[in-house]
Amino acid sequence: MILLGKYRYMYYPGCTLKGWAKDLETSTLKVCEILGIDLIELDRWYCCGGVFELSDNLMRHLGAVRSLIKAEEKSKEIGTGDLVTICSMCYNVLGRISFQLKKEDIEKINFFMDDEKDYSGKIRVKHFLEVLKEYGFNKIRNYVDEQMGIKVAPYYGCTLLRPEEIGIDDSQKPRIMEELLEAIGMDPVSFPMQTVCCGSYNSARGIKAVETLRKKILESAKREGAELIVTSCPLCKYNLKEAMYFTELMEMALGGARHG
Amino acid sequence: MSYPEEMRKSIEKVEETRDERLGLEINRMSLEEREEILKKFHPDYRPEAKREIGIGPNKGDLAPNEVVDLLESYPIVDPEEVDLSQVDYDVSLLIIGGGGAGTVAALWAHYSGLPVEEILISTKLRHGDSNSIMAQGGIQAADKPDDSPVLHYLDVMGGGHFANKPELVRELVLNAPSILKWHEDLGVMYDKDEDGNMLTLPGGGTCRNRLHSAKDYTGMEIMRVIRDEARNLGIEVLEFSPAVELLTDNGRVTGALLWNMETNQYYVIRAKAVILATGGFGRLHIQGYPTTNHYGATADGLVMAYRVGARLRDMDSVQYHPTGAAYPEQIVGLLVTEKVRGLGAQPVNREGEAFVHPLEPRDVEAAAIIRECYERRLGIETPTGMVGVWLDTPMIEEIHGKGTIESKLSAMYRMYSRFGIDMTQDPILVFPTLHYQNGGVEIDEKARVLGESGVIDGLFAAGEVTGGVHGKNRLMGNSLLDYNVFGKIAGESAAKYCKSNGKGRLTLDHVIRYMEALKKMGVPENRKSPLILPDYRGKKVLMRTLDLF
Amino acid sequence: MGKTVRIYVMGREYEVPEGLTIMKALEYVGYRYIRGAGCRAGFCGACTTVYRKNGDYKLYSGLACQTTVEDGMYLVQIPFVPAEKPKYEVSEIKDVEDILRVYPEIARCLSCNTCTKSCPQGLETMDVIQSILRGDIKRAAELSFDCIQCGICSMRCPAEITHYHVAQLVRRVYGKHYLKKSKELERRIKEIEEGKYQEEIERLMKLPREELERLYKEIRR
Ligand SMILES: Cc1cc2nc3c(=O)[nH]c(=O)nc-3n(C[C@H](O)[C@H](O)[C@H](O)COP(=O)(O)OP(=O)(O)OC[C@H]3O[C@@H](n4cnc5c(N)ncnc54)[C@H](O)[C@@H]3O)c2cc1C
Ligand code: FES
Repeated sequence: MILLGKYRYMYYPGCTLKGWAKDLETSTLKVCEILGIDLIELDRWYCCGGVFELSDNLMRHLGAVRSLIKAEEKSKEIGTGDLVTICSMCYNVLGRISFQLKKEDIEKINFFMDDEKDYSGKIRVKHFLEVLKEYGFNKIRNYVDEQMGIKVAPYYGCTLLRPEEIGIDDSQKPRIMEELLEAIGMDPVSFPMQTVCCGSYNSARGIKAVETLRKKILESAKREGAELIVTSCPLCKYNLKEAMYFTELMEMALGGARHG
Repeated sequence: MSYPEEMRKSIEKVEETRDERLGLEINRMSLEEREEILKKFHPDYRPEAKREIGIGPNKGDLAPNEVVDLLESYPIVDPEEVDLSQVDYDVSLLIIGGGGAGTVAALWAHYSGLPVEEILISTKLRHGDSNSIMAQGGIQAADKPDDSPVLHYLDVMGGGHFANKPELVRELVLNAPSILKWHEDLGVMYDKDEDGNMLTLPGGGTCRNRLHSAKDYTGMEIMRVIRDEARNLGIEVLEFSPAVELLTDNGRVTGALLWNMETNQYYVIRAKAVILATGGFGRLHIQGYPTTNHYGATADGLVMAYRVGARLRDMDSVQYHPTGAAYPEQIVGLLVTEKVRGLGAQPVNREGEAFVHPLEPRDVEAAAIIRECYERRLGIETPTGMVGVWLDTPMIEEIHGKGTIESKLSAMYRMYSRFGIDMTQDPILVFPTLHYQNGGVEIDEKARVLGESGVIDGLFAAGEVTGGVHGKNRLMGNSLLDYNVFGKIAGESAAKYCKSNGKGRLTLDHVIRYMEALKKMGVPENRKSPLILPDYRGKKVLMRTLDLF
Repeated sequence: MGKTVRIYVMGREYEVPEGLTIMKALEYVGYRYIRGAGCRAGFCGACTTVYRKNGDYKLYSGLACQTTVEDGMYLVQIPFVPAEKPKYEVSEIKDVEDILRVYPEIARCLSCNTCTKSCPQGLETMDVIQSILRGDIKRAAELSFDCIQCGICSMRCPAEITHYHVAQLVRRVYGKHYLKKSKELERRIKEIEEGKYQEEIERLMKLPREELERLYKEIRR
């Protein structure tokens, strides 16, 4: 029996965090350890279907549905319906699917799933940033060793904010990352291009536009005086080439190295 | 399909005595006691089940009636009816049998320098449909610090009643560790500890824990890995195209005649060397026994080799595995791996009494079970009239902890679950089943087939089709080893032979001579072999069958 | 004849004794297998059968040699599964990226779970593919270990994945690159190569039977 603290969540890592974006997971788990947040990984979960990202066809997102079903099973064991993701893309897909399933689609999908367990729509999908906000940015301040005062530009991209129904903040003028950065002793700088798309999967097809977007986004941040860009999305990070995960920065600020 | 009332009553007795039996150390039999029980109860000792071979190099030797019937048979192909002048496949090396030995031989022939285009495998069913894929328990090799090839040697000899061919046993035990290493490098998932050392279990007749396994799918795991490797290399396999006769040039083997079972067309193969790897004979159902063997285990290789003059040995002994399934009816005869006993399950009679050490050599264990059922009459009868004894599987979890059966014996657990029996909760019913062809074609340490006057040129053999390695009784885990070691040796020897020899003429002269001898003996002409496949069609249908096209 | 059941072999009705396996029932009514039977014991995957039952929309699959006939079964056996088996060199394949180069189509997995539902071994086939996608080679190898490669998963997959071939590769990758090599094995091989046991075995080979018997008893004490 695991002893669980006050802040406990089910955790959906997603494939990328188990693969080339391992740093995002390790830094997050480190931060959680310091803050006393329990992220409990689902026993079984499936690719969210990020590759079919914009499809509305539920049949392309059965992986997400199944992960939500597994989360419902797990929620009985640990007593929370909150399912946390760190990857923005996974958040976006799981979030949209759970939103879509709150409506009439749920019956259709349960019928298709046939002899498997039904989904009853009880899971709340949350992004890790929301978890930190719930925990309290003020409380996080207590764990900060040193006010580093680095000028950090938070890059949101699309997936945390759009569509609005599942956005974690105002889709035009988000503040959540700025507030967090401020709490961990950084000097946040907002910039005009911070909610513009990074080009997403177009990079895989070698499309030039991604390169143009990258330049524009980076220049926009630098123009505001940023020394560093942070993101929560492996794909954005890949496309921007010069970004860092916000959790990595947090780990530094909270003295991750000192905490062993 | 769980147990009927009558059987349940006996299970209750088994349950009552279980705790007591858990602490019980059952004595092993002395060599003298073994001899005695074998003579009285082992099926091999029933004189009416065997007769003398009336033809060929082994004339006068005893063999099971079913085998002698096949040896004293006319060919299924009339030599007059085939045109050998048109060659369909012209290769350096033909391997007959796409089971374990055949696949290993192909790989090692290639490692020894034969290009893949020069190697052809003929097989009866699909590549890998064989006894090799069915092995569950494990493979022996003396790699543990407390073990040694010398101890392994003694165990093989003792298990085989000292009738083995010593130089073959030497090759077997000395090559064992490097075979396992080869498997490791190919990616076979052996059961290992955290440091990478192999987990080992005792086997019947081993003085050390020497059995290496991959759960209870050991044979499948090895077979599918070597098959994958052969496919990666692009070695050609003709499936559903068994060999029906070897071809010779003045006593030298120069090719074979294959038969496409689906189109009925024959193929003429010319080769410099031929490796026989056709496996065993379980599907002959010696003495009416059910069998653990695959569908194609019909002794074809013995028959073909005998016609070219190969010598057979130890054909008078047959291995009955002590524990074949005896209930439910659907799986009667299928193997219950020795590993079940290796993990601690005891054979127990109707009254719940243990009556034999669980790990006697196979023939002794089988004889003890037959004695329990038919002399002492303490067996358990099933609704269809089968009699067997319990194998007390729930003991395994008492000894090794919950979950052991599902993780270490998942094939067994799955098989019984499919028929509604939970072997973690209830014992299973077993009776000996026809398992292994102890004897076979005689080879030398280079895997060359021997005839009356020494080596038969161009013919090599490996695996269950051969005799000598195991003497009169094979120990568990030594035949997976056998097919690997001698498959390798055969591949290497044949590759070498191919380098220094050309191709020969293709004739069936040896078959014509054999037919003349059969005629002299007065063998009825409708007796034909090789058998290729057993016929299990319903009698009622067969009585009303018309062979129209 | 005791109790019987009615089965339909490719649509034709037959009456067979109850309690037979599908394989034995087909033989009972007069079929002689060439394809469709290998080990006859649940190990080779040659006998995959798909069937529906009276009044049930589901398509079931099972092994003919390991499934008991039921009244009202509509049966057909799948004699062969067409599937591409790419060639590869296992020593060069170490992680997901490498595996995706050999089998790029696994990224098309829709998580529909049809493969899992069709597996006659009851394996979590979809989880195997999903585990590979996230780089968990160990889990994929272990989950697929009991695969008998019948190929029915690959016949039913809408993403056209050949799970059983993919899983074969993954297990070999795991066995070769992830499981540690046995030191004991290496040590013993070296000893043998140095000839440590040769002489003793050659000596045993020449001993008379009684002598061997004595030694055989001795090591058992
Ligand atoms: C159920 C079972 C469990 C076993 N468990 C173990 C164990 O745990 N440990 C152990 O060491 N041994 C075990 N054995 C024994 C071992 O598996 C076999 O003895 C060994 O695999 C034989 O290998 P082989 O290559 O000689 O024959 P096989 O693997 O049987 O291969 C012979 C091949 O030749 C084909 N063939 C036959 N006739 C022809 C023809 N005319 N033309 C072309 N092809 C032909 C066959 O169809 C088959 O594919 C077990 C055997 C069985 C049946
Ligand atoms: S015949 Fe091999 S699994 Fe059924």
